[in-house]
Amino acid sequence: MLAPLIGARPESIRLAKWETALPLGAVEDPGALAKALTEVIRAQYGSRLSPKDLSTVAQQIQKGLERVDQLKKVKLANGDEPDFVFAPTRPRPGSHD
Amino acid sequence: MTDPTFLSIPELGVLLRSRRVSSVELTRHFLDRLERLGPTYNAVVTVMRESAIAQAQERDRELAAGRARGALHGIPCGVKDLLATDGAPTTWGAAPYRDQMLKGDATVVRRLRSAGAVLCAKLAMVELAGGMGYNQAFASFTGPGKTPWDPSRWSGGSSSGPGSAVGAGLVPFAIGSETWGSIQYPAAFCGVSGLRPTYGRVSRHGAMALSWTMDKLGPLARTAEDCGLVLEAIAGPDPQDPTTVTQRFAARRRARLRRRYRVGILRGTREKVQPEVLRNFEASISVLRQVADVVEDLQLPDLPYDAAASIIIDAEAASAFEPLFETGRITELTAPEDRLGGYAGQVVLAKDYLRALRVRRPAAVELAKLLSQVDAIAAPSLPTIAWPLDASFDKVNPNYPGGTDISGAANLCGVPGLFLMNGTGEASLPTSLQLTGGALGEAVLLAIGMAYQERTNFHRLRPPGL
Repeated sequence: MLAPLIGARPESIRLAKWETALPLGAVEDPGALAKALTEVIRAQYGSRLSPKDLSTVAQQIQKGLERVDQLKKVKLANGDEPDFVFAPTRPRPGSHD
Repeated sequence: MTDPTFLSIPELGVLLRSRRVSSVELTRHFLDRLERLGPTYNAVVTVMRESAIAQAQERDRELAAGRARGALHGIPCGVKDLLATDGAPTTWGAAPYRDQMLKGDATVVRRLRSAGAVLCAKLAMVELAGGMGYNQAFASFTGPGKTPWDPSRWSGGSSSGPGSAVGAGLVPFAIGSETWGSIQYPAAFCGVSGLRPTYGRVSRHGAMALSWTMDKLGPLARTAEDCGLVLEAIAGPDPQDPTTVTQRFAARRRARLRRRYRVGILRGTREKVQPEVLRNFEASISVLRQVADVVEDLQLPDLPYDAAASIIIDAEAASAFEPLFETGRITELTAPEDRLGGYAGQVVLAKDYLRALRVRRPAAVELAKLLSQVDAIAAPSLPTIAWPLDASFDKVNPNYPGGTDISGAANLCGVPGLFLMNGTGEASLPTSLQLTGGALGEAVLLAIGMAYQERTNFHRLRPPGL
């Protein structure tokens, strides 16, 4: 699965009417965009991924794109900013590397 | 010596301050249990005997000199092995990091030490906190976490060690983390109390990053009161984590919150849960009616919380763990699905990640409106008892997927949750009640939780044979 559902079963995650018409857990066949993005993965990491692995990755990418489709149903205005924190004057925190 | 194994933090504090037990004695007691029983549950990565004894000796010297640092003074504890700890490996539960030594303590570890707690162990966890999409209990280089209620069942994750160690009486309390469900599951499956604080309430500095905008650190302990005492010690602003909030949390303020509460229940909450889970939930609501008005049939605003949370975690985890992909060491992870599960995150489009972050704000506003109607929303923590160790998560208990689930919305929007054992279900395994509150609403959640535990005895139940 694409989403790392942290300790959660995929079936337990309810999406109400945002869910696709497919049965829970089912994923559409990878579309053109999913296939293209899988090629990006193949180009970067293909030496360690079998055709079966890449097929699995393509399914996971497709699932993610279906989630994006759900997000697109939320109307956003130009001024609706991403909800993250940035401050130009903040020092770099101490590293734990 | 009074058996301290399953005592709460205030009860242990009484023993310590009355000199009926020393911190060294207490620490040795729990170190012995960690070493003897930890392997039974795959709960422990590193036992810190030498440093723990040294800390306990210092706490005893301070007590003898009349100096007590607070409620945690001299109390042993453990932390999930994603918190940097000077002098001990910090493995993130993952084979590629099993020898990782980080310099300095995480802020939470430093604050626990300052509060007088005695750090006894680094506790096991699901590899990379589950960030690669694990689908089974066998997803850590230390083995599958096991619940002390039945070691043939999963402890829950990703804070598996904190859940099972507290549940088995190996430590009085522990620190876990939650990005999405990782305190909720082990608290429920191990029959302990767990608190997921508001995002930003507790510094993440020195904690493994899975998702910078969704990771939270919080306690697992015997009682709601214990959770509050631990939160008081670890919460607060931290210059090292700019997302920390400035509002302080004071456990003692809960005393002023003794009033009649309002508890809501979402439409669909009672659907598709095991009969015993439903029975215990209804019994919990009956108890809560003694202290709260119960509002039925609330509606969770219809927004794609889970989709947004998934995309955010995918994209942030892909960046946080990019070195594992670049070096190929992702192949060293324990669960086969974890070796593949992160690739899709590598190609989340920037505009899609940003869209998810933009959706989060209206989602938080709508969820806040709902939560402003009540002090807490109650639900079963999970629809079932602990799952068998050998089960695939996507195939276990298909008849009980659960009804309306607030955990995705709560984690996306960073609001707190409290998880309390509320009985036993099938196979005499724990069931659990969750209370979700508004942002920075931990005090009222804990007050309701304490009121519930004053009227019930489930937090006193011990796993069989312990």
